[in-house]
Amino acid sequence: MTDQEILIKLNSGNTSQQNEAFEAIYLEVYPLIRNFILKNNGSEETSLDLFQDAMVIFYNHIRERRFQGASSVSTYVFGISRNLWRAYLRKESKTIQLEEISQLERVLVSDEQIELAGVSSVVHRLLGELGENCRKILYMYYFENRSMMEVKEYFDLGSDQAAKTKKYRCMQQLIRLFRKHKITPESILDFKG
Amino acid sequence: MSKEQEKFDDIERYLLDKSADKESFQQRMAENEELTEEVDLHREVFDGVRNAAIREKIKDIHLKHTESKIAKSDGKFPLWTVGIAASVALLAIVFAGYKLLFTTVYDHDSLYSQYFSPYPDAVSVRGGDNEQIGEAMRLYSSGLYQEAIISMSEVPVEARQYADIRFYQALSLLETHQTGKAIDLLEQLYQIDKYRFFPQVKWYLALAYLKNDQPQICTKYLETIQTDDFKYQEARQLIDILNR
Repeated sequence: MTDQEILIKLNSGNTSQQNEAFEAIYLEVYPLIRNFILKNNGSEETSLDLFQDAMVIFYNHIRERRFQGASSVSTYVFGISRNLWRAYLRKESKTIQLEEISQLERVLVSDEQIELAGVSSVVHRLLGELGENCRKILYMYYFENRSMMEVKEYFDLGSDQAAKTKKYRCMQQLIRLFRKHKITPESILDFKG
Repeated sequence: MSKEQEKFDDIERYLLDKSADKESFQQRMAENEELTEEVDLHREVFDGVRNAAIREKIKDIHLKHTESKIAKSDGKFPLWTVGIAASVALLAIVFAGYKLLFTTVYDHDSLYSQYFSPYPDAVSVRGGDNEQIGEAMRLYSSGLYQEAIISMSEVPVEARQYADIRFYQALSLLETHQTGKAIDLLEQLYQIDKYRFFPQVKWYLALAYLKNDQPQICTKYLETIQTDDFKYQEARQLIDILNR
């Protein structure tokens, strides 16, 4: 799949096309990231976590039109991952033996985006506590932009209003959990740990 | 609908840009700090859900490619299903044993991994040389092969070390599993008369063909490696294994 095709699919709003694009990036970039992390004394688990963070940031860059295609998708995602790894090492106060950040890489990831990716990791875990149905409803509505009618049909609910109420309850539950964990930028790393 | 749910809907409409009267909602926020905090929290959770969906997708893709799904069992299977499962497991063990005994030596990818190691940086850079060369080789030595490939492709033809850089570019292509491209480039380098890295090119070309599941061509290149050449011992070992 070419970079052009990947971008078209990610912007399509179509779930299966987006999945194809995510898979294409995974197949090309994840082995590189995994090698890189393992070579730098990281673990298998960390490499997947880091790649997920990188994909969150990359997807947001695409939505915000920040990815201009100056480099290839794989180089870009790899660059993000590398900077995330560096930030992780810094936070853990580990010695950084990698080379200094080049100008190109410096513009890729801000602290705010690292935090955004960290929050996504926390929310991902909290969604796991909600149960399968709630998780699916929230993904369908907020990520896949499905209508209440589609949610109603998928879950075989009586009316759009019933679907809306179910979604409301799921979201309230998630917000309660989110509050309970008192998410702050400082707590994100601990929670992920 | 409860008051709480009405407030939730207002916040959601605002955040999802579906509010009919956005300005009036913003006005309410300006006058009510608590509401502003509530909106910020909702925004964070909305974004969190969207981004968590991406994590979920990646996790699913990862599982699909790395792990076989283990069926959940509640331990209440009829006896005959246990019998079948045991037979299947036994067959799988016998098959795995057979495969291990007779086919591992022909697993080209494992052999490639066993014999491949990156060639160290032997490119000399002096003051006045193109800056791109130093940067490209730094990336290569750091294991940042994808970035190294891009950086190397920007080294001008006039550069003194241009031919050397092409060799490291081919190695970077191998490291990033772009085997076809690596073979093309190494084949070009193989044709260069009195090429500095000629012995190394023969070795890596052989390995590239091995990775590409072309053991005959791999052997052909291994046979060209002379007694004093780079990796002569390893080449002989590999020939023996491939001829078994």
